[in-house]
Amino acid sequence: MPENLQTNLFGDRPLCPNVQNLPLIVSATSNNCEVLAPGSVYQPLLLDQKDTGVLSGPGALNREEEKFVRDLITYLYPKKDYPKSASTPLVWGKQKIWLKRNIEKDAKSFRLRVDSSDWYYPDFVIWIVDEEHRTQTFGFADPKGLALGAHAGWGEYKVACTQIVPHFLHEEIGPVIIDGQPWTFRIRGVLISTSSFEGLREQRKFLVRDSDDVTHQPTKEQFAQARILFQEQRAEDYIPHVLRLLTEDGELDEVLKLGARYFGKSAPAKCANEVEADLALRHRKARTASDFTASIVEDYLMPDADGKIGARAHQKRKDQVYRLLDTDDAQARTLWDQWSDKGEPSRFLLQNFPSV
Amino acid sequence: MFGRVVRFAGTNGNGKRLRDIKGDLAALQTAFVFGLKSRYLQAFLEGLFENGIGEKARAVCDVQDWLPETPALISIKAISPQQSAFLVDLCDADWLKSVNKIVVSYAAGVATARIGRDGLDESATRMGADITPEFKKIIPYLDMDSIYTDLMQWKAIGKRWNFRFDRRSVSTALANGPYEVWALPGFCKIQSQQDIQRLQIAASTVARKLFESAYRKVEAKHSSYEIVGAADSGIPSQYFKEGTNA
Repeated sequence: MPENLQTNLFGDRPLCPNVQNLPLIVSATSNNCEVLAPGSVYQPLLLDQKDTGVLSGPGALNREEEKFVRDLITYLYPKKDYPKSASTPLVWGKQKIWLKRNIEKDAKSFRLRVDSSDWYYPDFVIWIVDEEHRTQTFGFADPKGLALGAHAGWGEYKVACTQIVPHFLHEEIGPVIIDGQPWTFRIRGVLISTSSFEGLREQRKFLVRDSDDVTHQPTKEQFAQARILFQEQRAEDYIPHVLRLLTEDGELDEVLKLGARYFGKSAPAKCANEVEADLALRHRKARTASDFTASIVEDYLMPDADGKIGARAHQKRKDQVYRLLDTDDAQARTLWDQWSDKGEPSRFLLQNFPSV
Repeated sequence: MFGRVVRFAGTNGNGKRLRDIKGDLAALQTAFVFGLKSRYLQAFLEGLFENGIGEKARAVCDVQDWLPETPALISIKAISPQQSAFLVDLCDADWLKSVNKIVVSYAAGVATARIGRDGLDESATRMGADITPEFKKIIPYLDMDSIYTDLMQWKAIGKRWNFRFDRRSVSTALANGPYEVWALPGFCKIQSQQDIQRLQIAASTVARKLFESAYRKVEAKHSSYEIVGAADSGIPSQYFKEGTNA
């Protein structure tokens, strides 16, 4: 019998431990199979001990997953005053945090899919509750080796599930009432790459385009805008970004939120601005939601000289208009001459040449 | 040889035994393990124990629910449709239009580690290349009937009775489907019968993955999401742990 399996007096049968006596995940050693994780909505969490001959499940944490939980807790409690009693949340400023190890292949667990993908079960659900503003964030986080696990880059289904599918879900589930009160319910996700930044940015399918259509490797900040963080050695180097991404939206999220409407019941009949018109054109072209999302990330992520995102998207539409004019299409020329706002080529195309 | 399992090619490379085979030859279709000397068998058994096969000691323990009473935590549950609620028909020539690209990889994943300034640097990469154009060139030489039969078997085993396709669906998938095949150079070279069998299996895999993708696409359209309490979000009621008495 492996040494790290707590056994009965005769050493031939493993025992169930008293949860309260288990070591905390932050102080667990390689001998611990079960640990107490402060803030977890169930106990114990299991640590993968296959190497030592102990199998456990469901949901035993691998090394990277264990590090993520440990980093989250140690970041929130630098003085090591961890909450250890039952049903006690982690505290982040005025907000309360609960954590759930999400069990894969269980139809009751949280899972998402996009297009023709298989179900995606993120590793963790993180609830962030702001009672003062009656806001409940339903966050999900997934530490993953993306260098080998994301063949399709921005178009990979786990990436699209993290970036755009939460916006689809909002459309579907509608307003949320908790304890008789309306709450703001936010669903947001983040991928935590356990592959290195250098390794991932070299992948040809994780590229971004500048206004001249030249491809660049994304920076760490751009990956973060696209909801991909890197699992750094020190908790304080990435956990704050995880929490920020779950509770705050960036510029790219706003674009994706608008884009998601084209796949739901509330697809806008008219486009109020240039970005919406560009998204409407993309929606007509895209074969799948993943393709649609990937094209947005590729063309919007790289900022222009003023730091504004979407430089490539805007230039792409301008180029399309110029190409139309170059074809000596008299009708196109007349329409463009009459078009009052030359700074809105997407709206021009959508109105006059929607199949461009 | 490495790994725990040796897979025999079987009839048409599908791992199955021949049905009609005479007399004593039938036994040869089953893999037996023999020890020529007793210590070989001993080493074999020790290897099994070391690899986790042996007498297991197992405990099943209760999970403690530590959910808060207030505020109620909300979760989201995805609901798959009943099979009777949808039909997937690949006899329509346009079925490939909305299927996501699939990747079939025979490339080797290579993980490396080295000591760096900040500790251990680990990296992972893939050895191999996109050989899709070469693969598509050999498609006309493959036995489409055999691939079709494989897929009919897959349909029967998975009880996908709401799934309709024909031989043309298979050839359309392989000729025009959105797929990539990654492999080491030389994967598409045909020098022997085994090479043809290997490519035949690869083509079956590509077609099956595209079919699965098409099936899931329609299934997803009929899926829905609903709000549930966190208590109904798949929190396990028990867990297990087991060790091996070698």
